[in-house]
Amino acid sequence: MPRGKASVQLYDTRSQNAAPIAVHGNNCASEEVKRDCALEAAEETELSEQIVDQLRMAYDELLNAPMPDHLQKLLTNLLDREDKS
Amino acid sequence: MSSESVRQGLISFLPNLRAFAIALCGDADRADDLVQDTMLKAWNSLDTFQEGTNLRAWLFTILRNTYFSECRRRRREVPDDGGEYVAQLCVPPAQHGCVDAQDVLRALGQLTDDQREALILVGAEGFAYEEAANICGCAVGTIKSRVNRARTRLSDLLGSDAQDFGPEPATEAVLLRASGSKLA
Repeated sequence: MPRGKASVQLYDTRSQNAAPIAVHGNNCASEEVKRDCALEAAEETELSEQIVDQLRMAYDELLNAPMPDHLQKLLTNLLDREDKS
Repeated sequence: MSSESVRQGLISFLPNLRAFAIALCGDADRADDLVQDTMLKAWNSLDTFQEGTNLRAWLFTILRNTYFSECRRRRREVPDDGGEYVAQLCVPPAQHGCVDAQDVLRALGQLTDDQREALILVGAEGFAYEEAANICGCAVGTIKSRVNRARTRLSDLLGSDAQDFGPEPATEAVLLRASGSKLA
């Protein structure tokens, strides 16, 4: 079926509604391109969100890494010094 | 004299400062020095901190300013020589298979400094764009641009491996067999 020449109507056979749920007409090519672009954008967004999730997971490992003693002691000493002053 | 909330804040934000420092400079020892300098500077400048304002953002601002001052002083970029960036990180060895923490942190090291800090502040630490912009001393639009570019770059670097999310094939096969036996 050549693009832009014929009209294809899709019906939802599960529904009682006789109205077509999609019509592909003379704008078939541009609609497909739009759909492809939307899909591509959605995939990129999903990948981007997955990357951020991976970043958070890696960052969580850093957050949960053991704190070096000297840093903990530094803070404790500063707070203790203030308490004594 | 610091208030109880400030004292508790300094204690509770220490791991975040360290994580940020490690992700920023890629060197655990250097990060520890950075955090130490930050804590001392913050402590000596507590009279300039306004109670009720964002203590976490204030601490992060001190740390990132200290980092960039040090960078200018050292006059060199973050190294990434054959995994050395990752080798010095305090991240336990990951299991084989999927994108792991070391892959992500290695990729982070390949971003520019400003992109890396923007992505960490917004993407990992959860700062709002406005907060991150205040920390970095730039416009909100600039932060958004840096985050987008960083995210895109990270996606490119991890893109081929990013599809392998979830359990590795061997584990997944076990899970499939287990679910199949329940349905039988």
